[in-house]
Amino acid sequence: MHEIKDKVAVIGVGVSKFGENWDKSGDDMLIDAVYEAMEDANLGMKDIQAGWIGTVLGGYGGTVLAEPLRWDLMPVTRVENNCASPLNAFQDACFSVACGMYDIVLVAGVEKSKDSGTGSLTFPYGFHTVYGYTQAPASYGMAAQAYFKKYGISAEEGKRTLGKIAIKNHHNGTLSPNAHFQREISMEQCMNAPIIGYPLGLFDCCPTTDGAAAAIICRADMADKFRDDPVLVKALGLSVGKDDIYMGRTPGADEFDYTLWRESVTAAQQVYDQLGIKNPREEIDVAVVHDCFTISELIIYESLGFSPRGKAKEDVDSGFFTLEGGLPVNTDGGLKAFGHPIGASGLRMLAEVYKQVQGNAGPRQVVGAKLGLAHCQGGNPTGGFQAAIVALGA
Amino acid sequence: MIGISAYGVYVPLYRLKLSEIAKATGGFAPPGEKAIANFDEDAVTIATEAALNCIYSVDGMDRSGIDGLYLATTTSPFKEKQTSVTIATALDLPREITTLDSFGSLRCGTNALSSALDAVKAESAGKVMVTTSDCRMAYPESPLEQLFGDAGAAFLIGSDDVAVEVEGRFSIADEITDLWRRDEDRFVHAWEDRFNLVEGFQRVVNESIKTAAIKMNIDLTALNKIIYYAPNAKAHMGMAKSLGLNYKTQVQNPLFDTVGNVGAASPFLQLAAALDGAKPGDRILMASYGNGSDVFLLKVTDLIKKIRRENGVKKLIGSKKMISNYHKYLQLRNLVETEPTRQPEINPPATMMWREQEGILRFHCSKCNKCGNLQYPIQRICSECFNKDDFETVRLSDQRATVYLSTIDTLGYGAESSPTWAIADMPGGLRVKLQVADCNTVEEIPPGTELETTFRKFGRDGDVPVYFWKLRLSR
Repeated sequence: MHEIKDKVAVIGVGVSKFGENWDKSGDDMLIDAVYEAMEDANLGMKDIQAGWIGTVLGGYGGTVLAEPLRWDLMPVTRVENNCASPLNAFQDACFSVACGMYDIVLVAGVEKSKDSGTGSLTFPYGFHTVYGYTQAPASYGMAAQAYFKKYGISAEEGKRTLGKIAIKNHHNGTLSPNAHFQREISMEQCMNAPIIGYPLGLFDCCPTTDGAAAAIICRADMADKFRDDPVLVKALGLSVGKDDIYMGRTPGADEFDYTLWRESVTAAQQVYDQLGIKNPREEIDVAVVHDCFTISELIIYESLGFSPRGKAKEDVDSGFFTLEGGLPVNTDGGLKAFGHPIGASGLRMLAEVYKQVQGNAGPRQVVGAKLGLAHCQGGNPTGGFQAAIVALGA
Repeated sequence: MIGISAYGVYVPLYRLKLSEIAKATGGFAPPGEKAIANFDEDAVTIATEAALNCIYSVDGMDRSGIDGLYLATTTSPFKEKQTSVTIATALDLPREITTLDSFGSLRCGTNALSSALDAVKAESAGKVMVTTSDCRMAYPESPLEQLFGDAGAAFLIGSDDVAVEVEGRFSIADEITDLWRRDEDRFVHAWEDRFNLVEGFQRVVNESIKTAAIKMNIDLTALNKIIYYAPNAKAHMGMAKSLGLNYKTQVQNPLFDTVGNVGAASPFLQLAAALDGAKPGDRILMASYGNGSDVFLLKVTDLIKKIRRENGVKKLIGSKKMISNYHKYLQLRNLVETEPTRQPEINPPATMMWREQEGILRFHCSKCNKCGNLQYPIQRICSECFNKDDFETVRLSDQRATVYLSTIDTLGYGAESSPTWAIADMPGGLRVKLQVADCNTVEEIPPGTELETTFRKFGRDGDVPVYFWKLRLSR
């Protein structure tokens, strides 16, 4: 397999304000994010040759990007791959640049979640109107039950472990001006919150949020024209599971017991193989991952090889993933603090990793960060996932 | 010999104490309770469950031998669309089968039974399943509301393995408008109760039973059990008196204080209760009522012992959950406006329901012909060996499932808001993910719990009739 390493550079990123943006449309947020990215990249609209848009619920077609930007007769691709949509769009854009088709392209993602009239991110009965599926909190709740049971963790102890992840991400969110939430939370709040999907409480779940994010990429050999500190795409991973979203997974094999995100394992392995990484715990400097629920992040630690199987709790207890820890995860506050506008989240993560490896992450800066991962996973832990990972390096 | 070779009943899990109705609406509260269909149950699902219990009542019953399925109910959810065929499909009966929806009066159950007996006698059918059910709606706070209950009973009619022989039949038709529901009506209408009692039930059933006894040359007092429909307990008792019967020893308990008046299914539910305790040689008389009356003289044979009777009426009456109050009952009946969901509607397309009926209604999974791998829903490609379009299908409705993980979906949809779900293991290494019916907490279904399947209504969304399978705790 040919590698993507060092062929594509990220030269600009933009992230709209994430939150309950009652006064902004999806178009407004896209414009905010795209113009910020163009400003960051020191270029203008006419320099961009093609566009990719990641969105799940936002309208139809590439028009979602073309219309607000007033692009006419441009190559625009819309990508939907559930929560992996934005990073999937980014990866496809990278391929177009790496193969020489285009020199400079835009990748954007948007979700206007708060126009749905519902307080939660729900899908119209999944992917089959009869077989149906459980909404995300109930599904991830089952994974938490399975994880606690497998490793002999009591419900109380398990909730405390998850609470520590929520507290960490809320803290990091206080350092991110664009985050939905910018306040510290306490363990007491986590433990006493109403249950959303047993055993997950309110603070174990990311909020429902509006937002948009964008990145501008170009051929690595021309990146210096736009900025002194371009960031290089080092590796890409993508994995989609076969298991039907509405059925339980095949019993038997250890990997299928809901305590490991298989698609994230394989996407990460693709990235590690491309980079020759043997020990991600040591070799990765920073990661922004898909903490749609606290249990998602706990199991991601193990799925991405940051913690050995069954040992993530020890790493949480020792503060290994905090800003001061050995491998800071979700330095910007993650989905917990930013919320999860599906089509935008992956690019918001990518923007944070970009700033971290540039050394521009301000109060959230991880000292000496050279290599970072942005990781999205979509779907249902009791069915098929879609996982996408992008590795960025200085 | 023609008669009944198997039978089964179904009583929904939920009960409402009659005192709860009186507490909310004022007035007199008779003792007892009535059975209430859950939000995902209706006449179709109840009739299906009764028919399944009929199939399960005899070891190794060959479903492919059943060539008729008659549904009798006054409360079919459809005015146009045959529901007996839906039930036949859910029962996984063969395609070459006669189906019939019998409706229109409380006598529709015995009408269907008569037709089944005729069909078998004429040898135009070998075995006919007659399944009856009713979920009648009374006006809130009306006298009928205290009476009506929901249940079903099914009987397999044939000429082989007859456990209950039909020795004689007699019918009269009687024009009267005592109870009715026009095409546009949701609730049962009734004329003045004295007229209905005296010139309706009392006159007609008295006449039909007495005339039948004369024509069949039988002494009513010599019969082991007499079963008849009655509108209420007082009328039931009065009929015994007018016929000179011993109410305590001879007359079947009509189950009014445990299940309620179950309409068209009433004579059949009572017959099932009588058969649960019957001995070979017992002679039973059964009479229905509804714009006339049908009378049947029955004789229990030795083969009654081959029917598994321990899962009968008594057990289902004993297996119950109480509805906490009248308001909750009104909610189940969809009689109070609730806040509509802002979530998108679930509207399964009719095309898909037709295309995927083998998986959705027959509840079959696919089994790879090459490696034996089981997959549900049915898949064209084997997930283990990638064998394509080479599979047989296997019925899951008669299998049990063991909970692997369970959850409650607080963001669930519409009528099914906050459903419980289980990921559960079925025989052969198949793992399914299905809703758990009649269950409001995960504490009831921890990992390791054994569940059985149940046929349910899908929900209230959409305009296409949708039925699907769920899991439930064993009754």
